[in-house]
Amino acid sequence: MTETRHDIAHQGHNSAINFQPQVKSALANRQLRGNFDKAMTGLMHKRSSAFADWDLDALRDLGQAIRQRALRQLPDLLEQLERQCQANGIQVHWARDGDEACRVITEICQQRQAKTVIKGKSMVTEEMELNAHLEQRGYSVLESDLGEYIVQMAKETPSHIIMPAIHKNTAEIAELMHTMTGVERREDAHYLTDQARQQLREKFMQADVGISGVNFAVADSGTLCLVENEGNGRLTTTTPPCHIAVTGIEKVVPSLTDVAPLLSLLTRSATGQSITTYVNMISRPRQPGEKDGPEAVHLVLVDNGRSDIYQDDELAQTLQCIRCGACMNHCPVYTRIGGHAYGTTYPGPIGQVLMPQLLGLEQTPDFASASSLCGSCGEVCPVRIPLPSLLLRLRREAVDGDKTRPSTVPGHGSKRSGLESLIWTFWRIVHRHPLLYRQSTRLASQFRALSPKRLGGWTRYRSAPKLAKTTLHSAMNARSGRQKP
Amino acid sequence: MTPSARQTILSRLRERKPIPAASHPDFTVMEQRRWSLEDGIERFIAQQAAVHGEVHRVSRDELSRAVLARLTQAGAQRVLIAPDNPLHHELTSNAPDLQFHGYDQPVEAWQSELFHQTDAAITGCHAGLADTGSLVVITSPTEPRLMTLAPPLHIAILPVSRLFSSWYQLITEEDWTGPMPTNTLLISGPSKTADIEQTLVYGAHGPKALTVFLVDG
Repeated sequence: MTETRHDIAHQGHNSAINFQPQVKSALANRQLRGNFDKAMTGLMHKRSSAFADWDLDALRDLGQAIRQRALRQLPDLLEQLERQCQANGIQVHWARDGDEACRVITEICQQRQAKTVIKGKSMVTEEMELNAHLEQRGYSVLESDLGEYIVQMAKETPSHIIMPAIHKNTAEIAELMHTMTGVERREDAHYLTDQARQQLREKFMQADVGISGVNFAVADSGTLCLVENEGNGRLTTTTPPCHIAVTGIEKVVPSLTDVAPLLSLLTRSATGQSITTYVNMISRPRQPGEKDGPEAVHLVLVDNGRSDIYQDDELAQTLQCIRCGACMNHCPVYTRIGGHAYGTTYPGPIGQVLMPQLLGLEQTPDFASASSLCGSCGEVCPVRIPLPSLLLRLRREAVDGDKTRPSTVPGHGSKRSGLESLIWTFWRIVHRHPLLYRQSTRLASQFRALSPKRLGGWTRYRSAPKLAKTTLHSAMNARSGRQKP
Repeated sequence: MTPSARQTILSRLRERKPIPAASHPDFTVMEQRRWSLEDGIERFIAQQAAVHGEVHRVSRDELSRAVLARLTQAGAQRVLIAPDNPLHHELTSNAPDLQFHGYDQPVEAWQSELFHQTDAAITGCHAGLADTGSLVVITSPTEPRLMTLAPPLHIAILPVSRLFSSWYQLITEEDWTGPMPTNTLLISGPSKTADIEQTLVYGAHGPKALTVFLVDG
């Protein structure tokens, strides 16, 4: 499995992610910061009003319990899902990593002699860079979610998992659509949406294959649930003769009863809607007598590092995620730097926890530390993933030097430095021996004038702490001496 | 023989031991979301209105006249309606100048016509949900999947007796476990997007308008 991880790490990034420079340039971009600030503030308000008439704590408890229970039965549920899907006529495929999933999908396209592929929004296909894979093999691939359509036209990647084009304002989109599709350069979201609708309708009718993600896969009925507002997801899964649904293995739940509360949490947490326009439950391909729908439905179950995350009781909570994006909407760091600065498929707090586990800590050295640990992400997570604790855990993993403690996190100990561990060893010895402690603190206060003025990154925005003239011990001794009669 | 991806993934997952015990999910918070019939109707209408859905409460006798008025208002010419829809006969005999069609052939035979020349579709629904103002639609050979998606206006007929408090209530009362129909939908309002600078626009890829007739009796 280490090899698998290695492969993943090399899919998109040959070396560590260039986080710091990307953060700097994002912070310097006033337009970008304005776009994110406006959007995230709005989303936070919408979320809190959407839960106004709910017992939110009880609902989050339920969401957490459902996700945890499902994960604990994960291998059994996956087998049940496979059995039930096959009984329904859905063909099920398994893929160890992104490359394998891309190959499986390409083979299906080849068998169907497909030329054009239309896609509904799917983060797992972003994770495996499916579009590039298919395009290299001569397929034309078109994103049909409006945000994804815009991002694809701009040759960019999504900057938010729910609102892919949130980093662009209307003027930028008008300019882009004008240049790329020849529509009028009109800063009018209604006009631009209508133009995209017309452009895409033709494409839907011509597409040979439709590829979508899955929000929830239901084991006992073999049902794939897709949540969306635009109707592009429904068109993608209905109009082309072949539908390929792609999902991470963690998305399976026992039954539709479990989906109902998760759905209540998902849409409200994501965009503050009580429900999306469409909740699309697909259970089989077109049946005899039915007039539309694909004749073939495939489900691709993708591992891509998830079964490794699954091994650790604490980190396995990462897999509870239902991809609502509330953690990023509420994150003071994400709001200021936007999604692209992270340089990974999933940005924001969930990305900072998930990506180091998928790519390795050596590829993402700054992810766990790029957080003020304010705790907002953990407070709003609908399934109670303890994101701040997981960030701390990954910080520890990165500097841990204990070889006797096996870790499932790739890149374990990659940030450990010799000097730092030496300092801590000295610290430990000094604190264990009272005499040594007193002598060294006394020495330190005597030579306080020599204490360094600069302490690396710490003093870039702060002044260095100055040692006191007397140690606490001697001050206390003097004080008790005075009080004695 | 090298193990298949399926074997590798399942055996890797089964390596995790011991699996900690899971707490039992408590669904009380879902069960509590109940409304009386009148409150439920009020909530259904308000929730639909919040997402640009239009709800008219009518008696069975007024229904076909109300539907025709809505079609006229929209300037609809070509309208889809299943031949087994109880309104089919009333509508066709009362509006000779409108063209009513069934979705009676595979979509491949008339895709362009369906997408470009159909003005409205009239469908029934399996149920309505007060909590979220949703329609529950189970597609069928006479009311296929694209019927509620391709035409710019969707008119749905919902008997008051089929109004449930929530999706959770419907699922548990009707026991939606085990095999499901080909395609089941929850529809709440016309299609929409806010992908351009969060400006809400109705009529993304699906209908631009949704009108629900909530029928008494």
